[in-house]
Amino acid sequence: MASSDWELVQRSQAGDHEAFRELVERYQRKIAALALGMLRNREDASDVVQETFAKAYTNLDRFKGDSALYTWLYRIAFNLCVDHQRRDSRHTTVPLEVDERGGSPLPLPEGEPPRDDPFERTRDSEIRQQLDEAIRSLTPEHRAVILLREIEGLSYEEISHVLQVPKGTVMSRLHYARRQLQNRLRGAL
Amino acid sequence: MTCEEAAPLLDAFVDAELEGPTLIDVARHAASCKACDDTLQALIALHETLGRHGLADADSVDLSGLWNSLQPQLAQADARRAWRRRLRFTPAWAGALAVAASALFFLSPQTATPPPPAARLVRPDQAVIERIDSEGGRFELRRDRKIGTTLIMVSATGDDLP
Repeated sequence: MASSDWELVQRSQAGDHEAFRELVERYQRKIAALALGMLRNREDASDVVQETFAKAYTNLDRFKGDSALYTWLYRIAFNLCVDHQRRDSRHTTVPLEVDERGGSPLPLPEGEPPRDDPFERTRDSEIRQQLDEAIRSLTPEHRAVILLREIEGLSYEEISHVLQVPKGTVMSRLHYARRQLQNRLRGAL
Repeated sequence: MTCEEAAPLLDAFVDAELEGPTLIDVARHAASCKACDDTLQALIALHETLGRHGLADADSVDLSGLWNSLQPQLAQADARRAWRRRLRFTPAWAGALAVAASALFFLSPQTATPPPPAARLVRPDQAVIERIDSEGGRFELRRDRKIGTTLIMVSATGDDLP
């Protein structure tokens, strides 16, 4: 039976690296999704994932288990993303629609059959590019709330905990961000 | 429920964040209002688009070297944590002792006698005795103002002086 997050945290607090490794493997993809959504750059996202877990391990003694571990990790990752953007405000991002390594489109999500229809593939590619531009046009706060809700599936309460804002602020930010995305993606949805 | 009342609740409705009675009110209103129903459909379409394309992106982040890169940082954190624990578990009495010693040092009167001021001749016929070497002996200083004489008597054996 898999250990609970809290059990793994307690073992990690006692210096058990294998327990921490299990936590890393459990949440690395989720943190990567948030970081990539925020920064729109794969290398930066990879750096933020690493920094998030390093910081989490360093401060693990402060985690008392009064909230879910993943919301705590998201909070660290979100703050690092904001710091990253402030620190490197001039950094250039590579459009995510095209893979810079080989120029091929990004892989489809797991479980989704490949699209044989060239028309569908082109349309997917266009939507992805529009989506990328639309998300990039949002402020970090609005981007975070959209990613945490739409991609990560967090509840309003959890988002409020991650971003350290009242639930009402989460709702208004989400409403505004969705309207912005709908306006930018008009015709593609 | 009117459109004005329903509009701010549509996001929460799609996100399943509404409580029972409100949820039912919004659902009833949307069923009879094309404008609100269209807004709901648009929100659902956005959700599906974001879900499909957003998740594809996350898998493209290379995390293969993550654990190897983390290990030295974990070792550093372990070392820092060990120091913090060592400091935290230093016996309380050791700290108290250190505080008491400091207080004693700063508050106690100075017991060491300060060095005597250097003798200074004020008259030409004045003499200064810098030192008297006498092991266990005694000495007395007698001054006779009438004849203006000062007598210095020293007993090297410690016997009483006359």
